[in-house]
Order: sequence, then C-alpha cells, then structure tokens
Amino acid sequence: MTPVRGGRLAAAAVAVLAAAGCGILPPQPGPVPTDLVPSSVPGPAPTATGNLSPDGFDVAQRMAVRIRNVGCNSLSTGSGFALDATTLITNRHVVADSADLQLSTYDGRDIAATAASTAALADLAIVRTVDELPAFPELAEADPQPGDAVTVVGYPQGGQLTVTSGRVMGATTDPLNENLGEVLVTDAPVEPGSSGSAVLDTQGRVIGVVYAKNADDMSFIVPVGTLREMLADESAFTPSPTCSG
Amino acid sequence: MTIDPHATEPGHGTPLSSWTPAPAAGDTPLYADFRPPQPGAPDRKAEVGARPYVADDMVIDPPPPSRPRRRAWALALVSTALVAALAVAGYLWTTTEGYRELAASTEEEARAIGTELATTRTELEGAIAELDGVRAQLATAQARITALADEKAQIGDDREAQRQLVDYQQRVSVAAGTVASALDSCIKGQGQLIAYLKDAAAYDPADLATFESQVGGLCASATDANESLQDELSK
Repeated sequence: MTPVRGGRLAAAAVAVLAAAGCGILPPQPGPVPTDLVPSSVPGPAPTATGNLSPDGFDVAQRMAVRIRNVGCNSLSTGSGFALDATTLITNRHVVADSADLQLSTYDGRDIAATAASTAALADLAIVRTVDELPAFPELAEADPQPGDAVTVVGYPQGGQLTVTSGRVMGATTDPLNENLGEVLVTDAPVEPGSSGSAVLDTQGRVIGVVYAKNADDMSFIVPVGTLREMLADESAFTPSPTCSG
Repeated sequence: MTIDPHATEPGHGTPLSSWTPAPAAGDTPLYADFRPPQPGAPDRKAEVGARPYVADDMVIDPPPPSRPRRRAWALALVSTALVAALAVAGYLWTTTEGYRELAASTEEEARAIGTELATTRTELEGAIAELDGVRAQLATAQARITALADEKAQIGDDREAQRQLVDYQQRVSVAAGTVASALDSCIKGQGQLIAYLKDAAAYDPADLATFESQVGGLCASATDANESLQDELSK
C-alpha cells in the first residue's frame, strides 16, 4: 500500500465519521414557542343559556297551569299543562259546569281562556288560551311500563306548585268508568286539585294525565296513548257546557 | 551449500534431484521471507492476504515508505481530526447555548402561565363561591315566586268566593225583600177585606168576592216569594 492510498483512505474515513457524527449530533433549538396556551380546548361548548331557563324554573314547572273553575254557585281548582303555546290539557271534570275558567302560571301570571272542549270517552279536556303559555313539553311515544319512574307536577289542594315522584304500578280498568280502556296506576302522591297534572317520565316527556286517586293513596292516570288517540280524533272533543247554559 | 555424503550409498534413497541447499552461516538469502512449505504449516497466502507475491509460497512486503512522507500524512490526519473536533465542539457549544436560552425563555413563559393559572384558579374559586351564592339566591327567589304565585291564587280564590257570597247574599236579600213586600201587601189586603166583611151589607157581594180574590193573589205571591227565599237559603 502506498502512502497516497493510505491517506485517501484515512481522509475518506474521517469524512464518513464526520457525516455519521453529524447524524447523531443534536439539532439546533428552534425559536421560543409563543403559543403554549391553546386557543381552544376540548370540552362541552357553552351555550347561550346553558341548561337554565330564563328564570331558573325547569320546563316541568313552567308548563304547569293552575285552573280555577268559577261555577254559578261553586268554586273549584285543578291543574293542567301546556300542550302548545295556546293550548293546555286538563281533566273534563276540572272544567265541567264552569261559568268562568281562570288560569294562572307557575309565576302567578294570569292567562285568559277562550274556550274549553271536553272528551266524551276520556276524562280529558282542552282549553284554548289567548296569551301564550310559558313552555310546553313533548308527548311520549308510548305508555310507560310498570316500574318506570314518574314525576307529577301540579297544584294539589289548589296550593303551591308541587313536584312529586313515584313509580308506575300497573294498568287497570277505570274505577270511575270515565275512561275508555285501561288507565295507569302509580304510587305518586296526589291530592284533590292535582287532577289534570302532567305525569312525566325521566326525560321530561308527558306519559299521562292525573285524574283520580283512591283511599290507598294510589293515583290513576289517563295514559298518553289515550291522550294521543283523543287528540288525533278531531270529533273527540266537543265544547264544554257551562253552568249558565 | 552441503552435500549429503551418503547420498550415493546403497540404502540411502534420496535421489540427487531432491537435493535441497541449506543456507550457510553468514550467507544472505536472496529473499528474506523465503520458506519452503512445511506440511501442516499455516497458509502464508491466507496470512498475507492480497500482498503481492512472486510465485507460490513466495510473499513480498512492500518497501517501507520514506519517513518524511509518512509524517506529513500523519500530520494532515491529526490536523483534520483536530479541525473536525473543534467544529463539533463549536457546534455543540452553540447548540447548548441555544437550548439554554430556549429553556430560560420557556421557563419564563411557563412561570407567566403558571402565574396566570394561579390567578385564574383564584378567580374560578371566587366565581364558584359566587355561583353558589347566586344559586342559593335563585332558589330563594324561586321559592318566593312560587309562594307569591300561590298567595295570588289564594287571593283570587277568596275573591271569587267573596264575590259568590256577595251574589248569594244579594239574591237572598232580594228574595227576602220580595217576601216582606208580598207579605205586607197580603196583610194589608186581608185587613181591608176583614173591614169590608164587617160591613158586608154595604158592599156589592160581587165586588167583595173580587177583592177577596185579589187579596188571595197577594198572599199567594208572598208564599211564592217565601219559597224562593227558602230555596236561596238552602243553596
């Protein structure tokens, strides 16, 4: 081997080592990052009002309506709930023989009623209003099953707006013979004045309408299936007779 | 050079053609590395690798380079290595400085963010406490709204009950007044009729009968008014 060839080999070796060394050398640091704080982070996006209603009352309370039935020689109270902006549902016996129906909302506002219609085959009635009701719920697609949790929102004894809860115990024939078909039985406590109260499921949908109770504190409910059938039949509701004729 | 004295003797089978010269003491061999191959000896060709050789079993080493050229190459190699080491050292120094500055800046930024985080946490705790207070106030306000709505409803019920009571009392009063008026007319009529009957000869019997009938109607009206009053009272 000549010295020239050895030197070239050594130079080549140095070059290879230099190239390999550059590969293992750490890179130069980049500029100081200025965007350490992300502009947005994953999470629930806030809405304009969140889960709150305008005044903190939930929909179940805001849809409830207190009904005062002023008869010719009588005075009674009942409950109801909004079906849409100007329609509410209650019981037939709540609006029967009235000379005047006076409605008030959860916050004490008076709502003028224009007309009441009652169903012949179920203890149900429809009341039309002049003013818009604060809120209205959604009707459930099917009747609840035994064991399902229920919530009743109404005005027992004509007093304060009250929310009670219970469970569906089963179905039975109407003990008052006012409803066609079966009605539901629950253990949710109700009182006179609760008639017409909305019965809600855990998702806040209407699953029935309170219309009676018995001595064992069981409440009877017109199921939402019957309510849907009545609402679908335009001839099911006729104008409610008043005491003044 | 030696000659086997027994080579020509019988029994000594080594022919003259296989004669091998032995080096004499002090002789300089023609090639220093020349070795006759020995059985079992390592292969010299494998040992020397690609070194040039003249013939089989004959290896030739290159002549050593001259000392000045070898030194120059070594110096160049060392110089190159030194320059490379200096370059690497410089690069590493600048890199280290860069990372030190980056770490310092990042730490400063992190401290600023940490301070901001601590401030935000404090504000959040305050906001949560304030929110709890607002929630309590909202619950109180809701309860008050519900109570006021109930009070208003009860007042409305009382108002309607009072109105119905007033209507009832008005109806009873009207009925009682009607009864009293009818009774008064009845009594007066009957008194007049009694007076007429005391002097019946002075009056036309037909007129007396007509008057008696009229008094009977007044009393019947009083009876009807009384029945209406009783009906109102029974409501």
